[in-house]
Amino acid sequence: MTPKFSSLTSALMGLVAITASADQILLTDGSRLTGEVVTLDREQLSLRTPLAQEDLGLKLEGVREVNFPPPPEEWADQSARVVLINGDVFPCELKAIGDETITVNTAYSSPLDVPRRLIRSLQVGLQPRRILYDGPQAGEEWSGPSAWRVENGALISLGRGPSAFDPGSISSSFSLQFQLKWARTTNLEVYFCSASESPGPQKEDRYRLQIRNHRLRLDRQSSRQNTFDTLGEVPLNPADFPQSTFQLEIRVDRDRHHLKIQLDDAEVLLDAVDRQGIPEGSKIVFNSLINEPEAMSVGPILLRAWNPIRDRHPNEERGDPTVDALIDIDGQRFGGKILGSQADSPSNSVEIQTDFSPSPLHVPMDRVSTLFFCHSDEATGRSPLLIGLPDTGLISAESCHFENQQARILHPLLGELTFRREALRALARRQLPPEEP
Amino acid sequence: MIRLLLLLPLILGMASAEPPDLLRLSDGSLEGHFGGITPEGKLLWLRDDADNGLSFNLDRIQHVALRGAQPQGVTGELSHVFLTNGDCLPGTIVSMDRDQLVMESAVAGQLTIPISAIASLAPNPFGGRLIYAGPFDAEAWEITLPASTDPTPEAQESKTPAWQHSGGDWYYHGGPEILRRALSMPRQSVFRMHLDWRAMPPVMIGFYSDFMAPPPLEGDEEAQQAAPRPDFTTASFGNSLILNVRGNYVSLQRCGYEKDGRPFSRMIRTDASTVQFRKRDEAELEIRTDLDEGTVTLYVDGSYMIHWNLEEEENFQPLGGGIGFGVPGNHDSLRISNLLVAEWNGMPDAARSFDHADRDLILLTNGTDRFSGEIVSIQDRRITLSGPYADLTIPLHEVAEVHLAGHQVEPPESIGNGSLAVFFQPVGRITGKIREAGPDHAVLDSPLLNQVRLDLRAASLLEYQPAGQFLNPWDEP
Repeated sequence: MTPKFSSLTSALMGLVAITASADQILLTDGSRLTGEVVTLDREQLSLRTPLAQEDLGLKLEGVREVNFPPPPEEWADQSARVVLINGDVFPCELKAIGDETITVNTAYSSPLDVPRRLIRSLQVGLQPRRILYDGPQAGEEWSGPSAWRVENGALISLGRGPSAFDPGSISSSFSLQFQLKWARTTNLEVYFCSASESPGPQKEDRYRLQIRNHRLRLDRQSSRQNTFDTLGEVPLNPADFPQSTFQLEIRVDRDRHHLKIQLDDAEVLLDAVDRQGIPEGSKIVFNSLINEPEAMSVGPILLRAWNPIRDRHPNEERGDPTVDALIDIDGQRFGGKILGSQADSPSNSVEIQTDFSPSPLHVPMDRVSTLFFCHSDEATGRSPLLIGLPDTGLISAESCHFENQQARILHPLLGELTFRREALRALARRQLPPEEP
Repeated sequence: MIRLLLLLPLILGMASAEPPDLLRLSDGSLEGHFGGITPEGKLLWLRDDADNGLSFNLDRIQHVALRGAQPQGVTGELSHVFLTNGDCLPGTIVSMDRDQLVMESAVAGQLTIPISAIASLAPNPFGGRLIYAGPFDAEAWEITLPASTDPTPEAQESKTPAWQHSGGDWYYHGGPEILRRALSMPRQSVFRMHLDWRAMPPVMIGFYSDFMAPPPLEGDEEAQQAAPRPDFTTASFGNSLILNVRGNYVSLQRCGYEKDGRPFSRMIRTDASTVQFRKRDEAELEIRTDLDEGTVTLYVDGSYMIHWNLEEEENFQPLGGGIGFGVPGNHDSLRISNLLVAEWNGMPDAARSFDHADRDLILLTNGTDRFSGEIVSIQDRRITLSGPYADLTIPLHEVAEVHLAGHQVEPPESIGNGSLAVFFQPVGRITGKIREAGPDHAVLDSPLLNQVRLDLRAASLLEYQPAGQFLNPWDEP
């Protein structure tokens, strides 16, 4: 249950607001540099900065992470996601499935051919999740104006007290995502699935998430009981958040009565089942327990419909690695040989030959959830560099060179990849185990 | 009745070579041999010291354990059909169409079952060899104090052990003893159990236990006193994995002894620790373990709940193969039934979380593939499914389970009202009103099967009292 907060994944996966137009280099001693990264490899990072006549050469072991200016927002929400056998995640658009390779498109590169044998899973049909609320914005009806104000897309705490919002009925499974920042410390309650705008221990069916300096706790409040039923609790270490901010996502699976809380899009903090079932209320309440003004800010806040079934499939056990497999959106799973697809053809379906039908099944692309391809036990292809891409993509790299707004990345499995420079969100070193003699 | 009495000397002679039956009445129990049931509703009980046998009204009878729950003719049939009333018919599926299913059962002959009465089929339910099914008797089970617990005068004087076997169940009514049984769990196993409780006590479930006793202490008295002592779990189960269930919090523990004899006990970390029970007073737990891959997965009421990864532990003694239960420091009652240990094919079985309200479901034995649609037929050991993309024809030997859309198991509140439940080994339960019975057969009027004649040689238990009598005082110690 104890989470391992990784600043590396936080930096790569998170949505920490980086507004600067230059690359930012965070060194292991806490120092920061800005400029333009020219080259990265196993040994060093070259930085072009107006402060020096020549490019600065930094030993890579002294670099903690690099944050690049944020990529264009329209590059997010890709409809497919390739997970390679080394764990790399590559958001993309599926163009075709061939005998040996799949072809994918991205907004920041020419079409890529990825050998099927290097793919652990291919998730398709990902739709931009329907947004139920995106804010806060000035003039919105957030209650509790004396305790909070809306400013620059965030709620700013003014002292102790709640601020609540009702996005209307939420009948489906949903995800609530928000960025929390704090000045000195944090002491925040978040009530959700609530019918009331009032915080406190009254008898009511809803959840209370407590975010305190050193811990995070999820309670189930009940209309039938006097006390909170704790669904889970994890420690927090403020040292893991040197920028005094993180992003939380609460995922609520109504069908399975399941709640999951993720940190910075990567780390699962809590995974709980509510035996009483998910309450029907739709109100969201942020309650500050700090007296001083501007102690915390919450925002942006994003509430989206969520399809938990699609999320479950890529994490399924691979099964027999010598056959391909297709999982449809109903959860059916067919083992066999995936013959191919043409995503832009009129039929737009995936063909799979199983042992149980004389002719191939044609599964319409919009019915496909996840594909597995048979693969060999090759080297896992882990490299010393990790690069963050749009839409929470994450790939390994041996080296990265920049030239004319292009990034040439040497990938351990796919070879040289050329991306537009703006596609890179962040970069960090990965500790590799020592090589065996 | 007259016919039964004429056969009495023969029955007694034949029965003398096999273990006695046990008749449990509402006010006591009696060894002897089951002689049958007359059409008038009298149970005939045969004993050497009663020349004409004894006759009992059925309403006084709780159950009859046949041959010490050691069936004469164990069928070995794992394939079974689940009915909507909770009955489980062991047998081989012969054919099925949209109206009825035909099966050949070693205990009930050929049965024709209306589809409306069927909840699911399990042609190959466990994907492997059955290691243990029970507890049909107390044989080979051990009720003991943890090895490090000195028997207190109170414990020594206690007349009632913490665990009592009754019917096909173990009951816990408070006490420090643990319940355990040596087995040879395979390295890839399914361990399934049904638990009932009033107020759920904390339960320790030991598996892969070797019940190793603490090594003898060495050195002088001072050194012995300073030596670390095993905790309750290690003293109870030795080198073992322990599933701890406390309310809806669940944890996995590895305990045992290091190579140098020092006891240890530690929790296995995972991301989740809570489970969801569908009902407040009962649950089916299933633990799937793959020691080769180092994984343990818990399912509750058929749904995936928690997964653990075991770490390599070269410094520790290896695990054993036994199972056991303990309820430390609590006196709330617990019933354990439907225990099953079987080999497993090692697939985590994502198929079990598959569900569709309007379609029949087929789960394959490979543990991953599953299809939905409408079952068209079973013929020539093949099942045909009309699916959304094509018709599929699947060999029956590749099918683990079939679930029929909208057919839920809804057991009646009780057996009672003159009905009888016959339990078979290794799987099977058939209920119905008794028409008549002899020493090795019974004729029941089943509400779903009409009249059915059962071969009691593979039966282990005849139960008259409602199965849900756990809360009633008759089972109190």
